[in-house]
Amino acid sequence: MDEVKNEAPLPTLPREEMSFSLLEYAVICIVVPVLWGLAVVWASNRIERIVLRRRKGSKGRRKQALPPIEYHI
Amino acid sequence: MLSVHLGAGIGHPVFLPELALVGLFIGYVAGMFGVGGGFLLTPMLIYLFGVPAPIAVGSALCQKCGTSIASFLKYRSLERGDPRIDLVMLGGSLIGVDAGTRVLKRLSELGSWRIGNGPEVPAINVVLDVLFIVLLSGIAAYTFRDAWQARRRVVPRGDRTIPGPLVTRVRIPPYIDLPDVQLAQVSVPMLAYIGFVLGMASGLMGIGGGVLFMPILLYGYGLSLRNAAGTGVLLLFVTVSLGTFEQALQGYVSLKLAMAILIGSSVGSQLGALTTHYLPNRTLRLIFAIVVAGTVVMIGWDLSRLLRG
Repeated sequence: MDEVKNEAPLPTLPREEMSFSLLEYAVICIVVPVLWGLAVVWASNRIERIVLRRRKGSKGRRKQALPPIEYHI
Repeated sequence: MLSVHLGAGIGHPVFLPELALVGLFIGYVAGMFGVGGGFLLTPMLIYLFGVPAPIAVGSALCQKCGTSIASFLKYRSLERGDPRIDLVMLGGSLIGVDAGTRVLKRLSELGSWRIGNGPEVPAINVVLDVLFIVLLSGIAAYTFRDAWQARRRVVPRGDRTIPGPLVTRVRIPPYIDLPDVQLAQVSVPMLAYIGFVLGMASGLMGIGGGVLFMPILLYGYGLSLRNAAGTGVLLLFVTVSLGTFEQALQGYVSLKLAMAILIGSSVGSQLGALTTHYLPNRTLRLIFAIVVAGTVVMIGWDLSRLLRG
């Protein structure tokens, strides 16, 4: 197996992202998806509560609105 | 109009609906089988979208920051697992993710290899392909075997822990008692070593590590499915956050790519979780094994294409 020198440059950040410093960009890469994750949890909890309330009101049955995500393997 | 440039070294535009569909599929698989889906996402980004391997790894980790915090909050509200296991493993995991990122950087600097009389192929693609094939083949075989054995189980074992070989045979002091998951005298160094391996897999391959950690918890430590599910999610969140930070500093993260996948997967995971109510556990495991085996075939085919030119 011969090693061949790589002529292509390593991938770098595009110009619009370079307007931030690299450190700020790295922090944003964590904060933005985390905020999205928190928003998803908040929204799914709200939906679960609303569906539960409606089910309780109509039939008095306590059934989970959305099944929690579980590991199955 | 729907094609966008994703930056971070991905020279060609990417069609957004395709990306959203992949996100939906990854989320569906994650919700249905309870794994992060990183083992599928990284190869799919490389082979379907032509994303350079380091960017695929970094962006997959970035996407997992969102999914892991959501999973962690869900499992804490259900009081599943023991977060102390995560804390013990954290040190090893953080060192592992740093080591994985350094190895990835070193591999991306290696350039190309010529194997036999074939054309030059990027060294990083060859190494990642081989790693994914070995890892996923093992997981597919293990899941097939487990689903096959499940036919004979008449009574489910419930939440009872049956201490596995990593508790009974590995006797490296100091030890820790974990009453929340009914384990005593668990070797702390062993947990730290496992954390290191999982962190290394995250930094190098862009996978969260759930697909590796679950068999270890179920068979190595003998935890029940429910307790195993809630364990490791805090570790996953911290590991992928550090991994994302380190990879972003190297210029290996496309935030646009990660967010497009994350938005699609948020919808897909809810649909996948709903599916689990209609299919028995054993069928789910069989489907999971088939999905993993299919991924192995896809990667193997791509590797042979690369090597043949």
